[in-house]
Amino acid sequence: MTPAAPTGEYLVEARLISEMANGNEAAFTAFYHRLAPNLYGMALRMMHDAKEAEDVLQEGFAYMWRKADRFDPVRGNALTWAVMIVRHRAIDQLRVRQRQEKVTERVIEETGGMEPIDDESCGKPALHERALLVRAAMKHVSPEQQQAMELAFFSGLTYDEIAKRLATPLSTVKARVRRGLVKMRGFLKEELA
Amino acid sequence: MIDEALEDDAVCYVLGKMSSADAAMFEIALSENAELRAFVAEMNNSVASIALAAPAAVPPRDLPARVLEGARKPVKPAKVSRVQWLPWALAACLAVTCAVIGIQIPLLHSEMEMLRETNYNSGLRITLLESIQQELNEKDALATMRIATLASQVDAYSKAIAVVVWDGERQRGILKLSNLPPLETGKDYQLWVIDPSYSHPVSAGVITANAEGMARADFHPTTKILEAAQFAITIESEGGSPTPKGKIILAGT
Repeated sequence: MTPAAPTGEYLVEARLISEMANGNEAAFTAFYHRLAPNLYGMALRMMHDAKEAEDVLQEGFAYMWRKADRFDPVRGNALTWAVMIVRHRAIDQLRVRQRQEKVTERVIEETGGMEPIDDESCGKPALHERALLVRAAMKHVSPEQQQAMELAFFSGLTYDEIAKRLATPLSTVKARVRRGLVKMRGFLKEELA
Repeated sequence: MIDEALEDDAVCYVLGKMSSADAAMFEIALSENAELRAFVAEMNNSVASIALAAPAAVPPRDLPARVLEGARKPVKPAKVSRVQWLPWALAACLAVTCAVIGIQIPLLHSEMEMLRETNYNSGLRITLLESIQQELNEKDALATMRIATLASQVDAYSKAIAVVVWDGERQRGILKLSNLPPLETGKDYQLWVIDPSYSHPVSAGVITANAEGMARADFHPTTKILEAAQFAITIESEGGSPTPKGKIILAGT
């Protein structure tokens, strides 16, 4: 199965990246304002420190600007590309600074349930509708699956460390993450169809 | 059909929770399985969408300007003081020591060259191999992970390419073969691990090549390998042999 070419909002982002690859600074600024609120929110959730989250965001966008020509819209959408870039930098930073213990405690406290959403504080971000869809999808997975998925995504912890933290067998943690993601995939596919 | 264990591996890979060595092995499987590639692509999107579960926040407005300004600045070579040399000198010494310890690095370069010729995602695979190379520069990884390219021992196999990735800690490996000439009916290829601890080579299984002369096998030797000094492939009677009886066609360390 070949991933489909971008459509709708994804097409807007793919075009901006294409312009970035040609050195269009205005396209870069537009791309930033479109995605940065959500990427910064993710970085804050991971780093729990505004300065560090900002550093991670800056490194991520600097990379996107330099490597825009490497983006292939047929192989994945722009949001996935950007999220993975910023998340990798955040995880590197978490590992380098060896702050996992501290962060984990906070993440665990926070993954007991969904956080209140306050997107209005930063205006209505471009990805608002997609964010609502993801949050709706999250409600379709069990709290245990959601907790495992969020720990796996937002913390720099390994699966072993997550299993230890949750006092759950490693195989159960892996299965929860997998099943949660597969459920989300099904929901998002239906909604986007 | 992808089983749940492979799906777990795929999710682990997408989340970046695999070691470089495991990721390299997974990449090989990925390059050969279109269904797995499609699953990984979908999981990438599902995983990335979790980012949107975090509340959006107001990002710094001047960040794009800073990024662009940084990109415009020419990179000046840093002035290095003598004190700053010290960690680099130590790192250089470590690198030289590692180079003496193992001969894997040139082999990894050969492996990288070979991978460049493959169709799928070669850039990513090279990155992974580079990360393995980096790991091999560390003593721990040197002790557990091996990549061996096997050289032809007979003219008929001079164009054959054989690469073994061996994980000593997990006692498992992957063999990839290509450009093999057609094999006589009633014969099979068999992989052997030569371990100086044993008087005979240890069988790592029978390998079946496809019509295009390619083969890929996950192998687990029949006996615990303490030191994989060499890998060799022989031609044996169909079904294999407990000890090597046929001609060695490919071998390497």
